[in-house]
Amino acid sequence: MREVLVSTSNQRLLAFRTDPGEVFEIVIARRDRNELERCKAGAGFARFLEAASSIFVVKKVEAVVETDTKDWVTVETWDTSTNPGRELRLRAPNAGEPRTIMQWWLYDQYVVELDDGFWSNVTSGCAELGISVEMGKAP
Amino acid sequence: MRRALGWMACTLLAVLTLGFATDWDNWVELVAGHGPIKAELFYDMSTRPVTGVLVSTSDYKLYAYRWHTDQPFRIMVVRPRQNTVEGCKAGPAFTEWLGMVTTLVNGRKLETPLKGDPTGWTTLELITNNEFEGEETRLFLPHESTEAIVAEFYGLPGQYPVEWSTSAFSVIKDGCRTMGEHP
Repeated sequence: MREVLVSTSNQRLLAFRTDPGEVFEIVIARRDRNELERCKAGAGFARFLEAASSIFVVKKVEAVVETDTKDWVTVETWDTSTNPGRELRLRAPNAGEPRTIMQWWLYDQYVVELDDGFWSNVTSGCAELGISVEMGKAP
Repeated sequence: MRRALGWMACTLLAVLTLGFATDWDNWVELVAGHGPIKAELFYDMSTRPVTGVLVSTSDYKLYAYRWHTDQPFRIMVVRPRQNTVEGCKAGPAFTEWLGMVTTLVNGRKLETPLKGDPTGWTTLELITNNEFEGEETRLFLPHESTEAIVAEFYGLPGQYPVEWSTSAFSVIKDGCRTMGEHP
């Protein structure tokens, strides 16, 4: 994997590396601040990626839920080939549905299971995802 | 009256025959794997709610994002080999460039595809609220502004010249200095 883009309603995360053997660099933009957060990826990011790569389908959702709500997360990954990015859209568990829902293309949705490391780390920033923190400059 | 009807029938037959022949030519070329035979609109996202744009090469990444479609874009620019990160509000140059890339018209398929290191190509992705409606294209950006940008499209074999300004793409490499808002 060479590049990862994670989009939530309040955060954008771009992770990249120039060689598969290197550690990912992470840059994070948050809705409530102008400064960019930047760090090298650590164990938290590895667990997050592993969780996003190992998803188990439980069942198809009969009555599909809205897809433009704020509790959806999109993860797009690019490998080292020339293939286009692979997109994963997941809705966070909530009181009504305590399990994760995955959007499958435009219409189908599935209840899925995945490692807790996904939701615990997705918006945690460099504090949990990285091994060092420094701030990027922004006006 | 009979003569007029005869002319109308002949004209109708000619139109149908010509139309069939044109479709047939297109069809034969497509089946033969030659792709489109003329310049055509590959996509038009100018009226769709773009919320993100990613331009990525091995040594340069520009990611523009906005939290809502009625808000301005912000830009992050990363140069991995220089270990630098920039952040800024998007300015008029970015808006102009985005207006260009939301519509893609491609030309005839190249008879001789470009060779070279595939990692030297640029990935361009336009992202919408629903990621599945976005567009991703691989681009070869020439050094000379007089040469055409060449694109590869997912699911369509071959390489195609694109009607985009090569110099406009070279400008985005300036990052926030050119693409950012300057009061």
